[in-house]
Amino acid sequence: MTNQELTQSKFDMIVKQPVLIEDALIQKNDSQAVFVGGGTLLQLHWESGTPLPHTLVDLSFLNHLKGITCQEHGDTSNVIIGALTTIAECLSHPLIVKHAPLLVEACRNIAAPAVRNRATIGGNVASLVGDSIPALLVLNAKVKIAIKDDIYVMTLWDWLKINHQQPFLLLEIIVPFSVKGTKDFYRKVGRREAFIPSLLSISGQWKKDDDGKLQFIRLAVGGGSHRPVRLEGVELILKGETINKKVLYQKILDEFQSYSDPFISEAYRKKVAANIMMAELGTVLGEEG
Amino acid sequence: MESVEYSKKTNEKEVELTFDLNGETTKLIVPAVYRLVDILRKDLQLTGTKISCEIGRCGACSVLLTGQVVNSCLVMAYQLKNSKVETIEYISKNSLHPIQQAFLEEGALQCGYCTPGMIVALTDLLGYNADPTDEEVLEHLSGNLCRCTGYTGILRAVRRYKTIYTNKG
Amino acid sequence: MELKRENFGDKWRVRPDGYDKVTGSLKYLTDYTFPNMLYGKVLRSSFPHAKIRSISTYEAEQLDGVKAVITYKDVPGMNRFGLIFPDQPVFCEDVVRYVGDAVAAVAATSEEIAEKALSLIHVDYEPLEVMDSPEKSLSSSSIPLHPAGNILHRASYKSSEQVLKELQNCPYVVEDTYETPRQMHGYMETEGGVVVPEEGGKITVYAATQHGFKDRMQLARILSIPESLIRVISSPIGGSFGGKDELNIQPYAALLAIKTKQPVKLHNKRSESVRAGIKRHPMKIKMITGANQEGKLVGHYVRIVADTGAYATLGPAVLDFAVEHATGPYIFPHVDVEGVSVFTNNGIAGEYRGFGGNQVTFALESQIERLAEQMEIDSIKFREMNLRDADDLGPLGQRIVKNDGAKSVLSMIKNSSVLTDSPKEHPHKITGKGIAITMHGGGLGFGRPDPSGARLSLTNDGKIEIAFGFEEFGQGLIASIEIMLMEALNCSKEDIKIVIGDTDLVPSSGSATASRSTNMIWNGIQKLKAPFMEKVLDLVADYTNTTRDLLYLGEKGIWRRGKRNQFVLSYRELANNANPSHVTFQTHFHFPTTPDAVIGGHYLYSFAAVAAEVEIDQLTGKVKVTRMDHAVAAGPVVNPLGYLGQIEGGAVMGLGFTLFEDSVMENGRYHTENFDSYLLPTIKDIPTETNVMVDESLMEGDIFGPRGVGEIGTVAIAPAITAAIHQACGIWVKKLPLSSEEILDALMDLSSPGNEQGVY
Repeated sequence: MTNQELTQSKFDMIVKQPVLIEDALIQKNDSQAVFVGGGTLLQLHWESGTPLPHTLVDLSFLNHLKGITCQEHGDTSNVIIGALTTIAECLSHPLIVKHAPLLVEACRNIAAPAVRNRATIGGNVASLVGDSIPALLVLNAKVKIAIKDDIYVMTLWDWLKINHQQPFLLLEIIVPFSVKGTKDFYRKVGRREAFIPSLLSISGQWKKDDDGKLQFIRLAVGGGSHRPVRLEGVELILKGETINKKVLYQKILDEFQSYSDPFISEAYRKKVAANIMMAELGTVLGEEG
Repeated sequence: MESVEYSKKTNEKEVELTFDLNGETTKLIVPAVYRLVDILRKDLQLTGTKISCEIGRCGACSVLLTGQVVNSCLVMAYQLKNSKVETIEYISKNSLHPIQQAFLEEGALQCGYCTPGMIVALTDLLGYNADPTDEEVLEHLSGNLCRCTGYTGILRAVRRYKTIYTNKG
Repeated sequence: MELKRENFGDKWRVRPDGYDKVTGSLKYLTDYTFPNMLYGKVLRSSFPHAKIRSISTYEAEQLDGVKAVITYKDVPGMNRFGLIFPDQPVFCEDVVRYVGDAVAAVAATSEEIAEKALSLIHVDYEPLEVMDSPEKSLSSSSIPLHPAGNILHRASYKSSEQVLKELQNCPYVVEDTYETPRQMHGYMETEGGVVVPEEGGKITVYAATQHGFKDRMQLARILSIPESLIRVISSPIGGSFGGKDELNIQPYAALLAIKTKQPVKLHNKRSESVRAGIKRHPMKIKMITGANQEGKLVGHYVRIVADTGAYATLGPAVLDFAVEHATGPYIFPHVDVEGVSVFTNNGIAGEYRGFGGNQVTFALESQIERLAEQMEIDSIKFREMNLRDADDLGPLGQRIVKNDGAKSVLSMIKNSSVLTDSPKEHPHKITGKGIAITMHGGGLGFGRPDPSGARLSLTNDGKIEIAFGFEEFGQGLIASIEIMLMEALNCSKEDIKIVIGDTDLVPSSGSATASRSTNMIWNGIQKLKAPFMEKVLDLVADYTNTTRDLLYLGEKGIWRRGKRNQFVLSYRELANNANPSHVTFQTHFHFPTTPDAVIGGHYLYSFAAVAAEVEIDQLTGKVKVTRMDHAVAAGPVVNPLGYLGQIEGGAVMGLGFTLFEDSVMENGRYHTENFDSYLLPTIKDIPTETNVMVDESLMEGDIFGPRGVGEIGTVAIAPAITAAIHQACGIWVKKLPLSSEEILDALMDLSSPGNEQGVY
């Protein structure tokens, strides 16, 4: 580390406050600039020794990123959540409570009240490792992203798979209404009961039609430093004709690539993910044999 | 409207800040990312708000921002423009809030260092929910660490508050 | 009796320092600022073990706003500190031994400039191999960290030469090794304070400690100035738990203040506190314990290895305490305990609430439970069969004050509803219950200077002033003093002025540690109340021409007995007419010690028992403590809210020690740098229903007064929890903090055949 980097003082930081998305993206082009929503995650990283950026691009004046609305198109209605919505707002907003209760459950498990009042859902998703992501993945959420001069809408799952080279700005999260008759679960596991970076965040959503066949099933795992993933291999097995529990369990262990850190081993994360999933999928499994 | 640069490239890396603090308009010139906890403790000598972990994990620095509890160690000066901040000093400005009285009566504090944060967090909760369940209290205080009391005294105080001040059993 | 409001009447009262704490108006020593004040920062070692080839401060000195940069060359006196053995450099000269070792310090006009200046100090290190475990430090290829080698201290107690032989003949034997974590104190207020240069070469040190006079002595030695020039103001404190007894930032603030002639403030960030601060001794404890066919304990063989880190601090005393408490409240005919405290580059381990008792009690109580399991008898019954009698000798064969506390707490905990209530059932969760007991010595032990003192006087403005050289760090010291004095003199709380924590104003009372202060305060007041009262009544009788025998001290002043008691004279008026030095009484005494010359042996013991209920998640192996009850026998309850708070708070500290607290180190560096990775219990981690039962009785002839309960609440928690875990799932947890992975693996092994790969 050069003296230059070492001596970058916090108070040398410049804050820019664009009101247009294009300006925000231009300002972010400078490699020493970062986007700031609530700033909670960023400041945590600074305290832990992450090098300080030169410029903060404050997103709080971008109106497009604010607010929660819904878009009703018969079967395909969505809740549109602006990226600047705080986690606290997600917990209590009537549209989310009514149409995406799984997201409420995920948000309930993020941090603690004081942080939730500041941290944004956009920041949580844009970090690529946020605890809201597994829930959003199984809800089949889409994201609206601005990259350079264009705006893209794609599923969160597709977006997570991209190698994010260029600066992007997350504008909205589009969450389909949870349909009647769907079952879902969200579980976060940590080393203590509250306010903990998760060791594991697991979520699932499915629906059976009247003759007991699975219409759809989506399963996702994340937590800690994992980029959350959909366990598509496991989903395939579940949609199959017969399910062998042993095979299923092993598939979860195999498909979920994890890691070890000084506190928790990879093996443990995998086992717990598999255990929880098997327990939560009880109704799905029970009827399939 | 053009984008506003909150600091100039030459020597000024500062914000001219105007915000409502404890009912009074406060004007300061500070660096853009200067933390609210430092504004309070260093610039304004309001040391009731404490500093402990500096990463928003302990709640000792809790204040009310627009009536909601936040960690002042994670709020930067540029984010305060035109906002409303209330600290522990304001909560007991004229007389003790009943939750403070309950804390005293039930031994909900020992060294007292986490106490302002606890009171601020509870002021937030009790402001919109005067009769919280135990679950709601636990959830709401999950970001406030205490090393002395083991939290039992704090729960006793909240129960006392509910019994006496809201006339519920 | 249950410790609750209804049972204690007036004694359950608002603490005198409560109002200022609850309103945020109390200024802690780290809240202070002074005009012209500078900010100090300490440069700490980049390596856990290295030679220092050179230190260059030139560039730092040139930075605008920097007023002083100091190194070992700037220490006028002894460049060492340490409560007993001063072996820790104030500033390292040629070698650094842990990541918190200080190499230089800066005073500047702002914290930011001071930080920047640190980055401009260039230290040329030659890294050395890291002694990252006691085993490594003791191996043939180790590097000696101190001139005398890597063993700081050995301690032992042997009551028989036949222990192993006897154990071989026992039908029931449990042999295992237990490991305990490097727990962090985690006080919410970190180390910090201000040193202010005063006139005439004096300095005032506003900084937390648990022994102001000791700090004064250490600083005088470092600064090479007489103690009379140093004033230490050491209260109020935002938590200590033993972690602020040793010197921390004071030498740096003092040296910088003297050099710059300006007040200098240092306030550790949490990450600095983690890096430089002391921790609890991690210990590996091997025990071989045996019982005979009749269920009587026969032998106890114990080998303790403590990782003491880079410097001595109170390592030797902690080891001595662990050795003494390795047999707990049980009678073993054959005992062989040995302990060794080993230097490593793993931070520094030192004084921490419980003081070695937590570690050995975890091991001992686990052994007891496992023996009972082998014998297929109830573990409470097993304990009862082997418990000490009231007049048995102490654990080191020394005479101790007759005490039936062990039996008392065991019989109280038997009746705890935690053990009898049916637990709540939840899917995929299993529950269990367990108990543990402990015996804990108070005071510093035989042969250690354990003096105390108090002063009681009438001030010029009519207050009854009581002064102690103790510190308030939350434990309720001030409240206890108030309650005891009000009871002794029958005065009102407004009549009292309590003075503590200022070496210029108070007598030496020894340290506020080792569960000793309550007892010392009680003693001091007992000794001073009679002469004080007599003098006051003499003066009043004289002044008002009243019959002496009719007068008594009461609220607001002196009263006269009669058909209707009459107010005679206020304390204030008395003060106006009396010579205050005539109404000043001081006393010095020593903490009660055993008559037997057993070094470190204690005399006054307290007892506690814990009943715990746990719930284990079969899917994740995670453990939650759902209920906990406590039974304590420590003599009279002086301050019920204080006592209750110490037991409840201690319990949660013990819970953290058991479930998830550990300052994880690798190669001498901390992985857990702040509260995002070092996990303190949150309000959601605790059992929300707890009861504390107390036995206040003392045996006839026990004139020693109330015992302190500052530590005992932390001690029996871990083994009660692990006993409950065992009941739930048959696993013995031997390493703390427990591993959910280990528990999950064990649960999965135990689950039904054909279901080897999942608990479903």
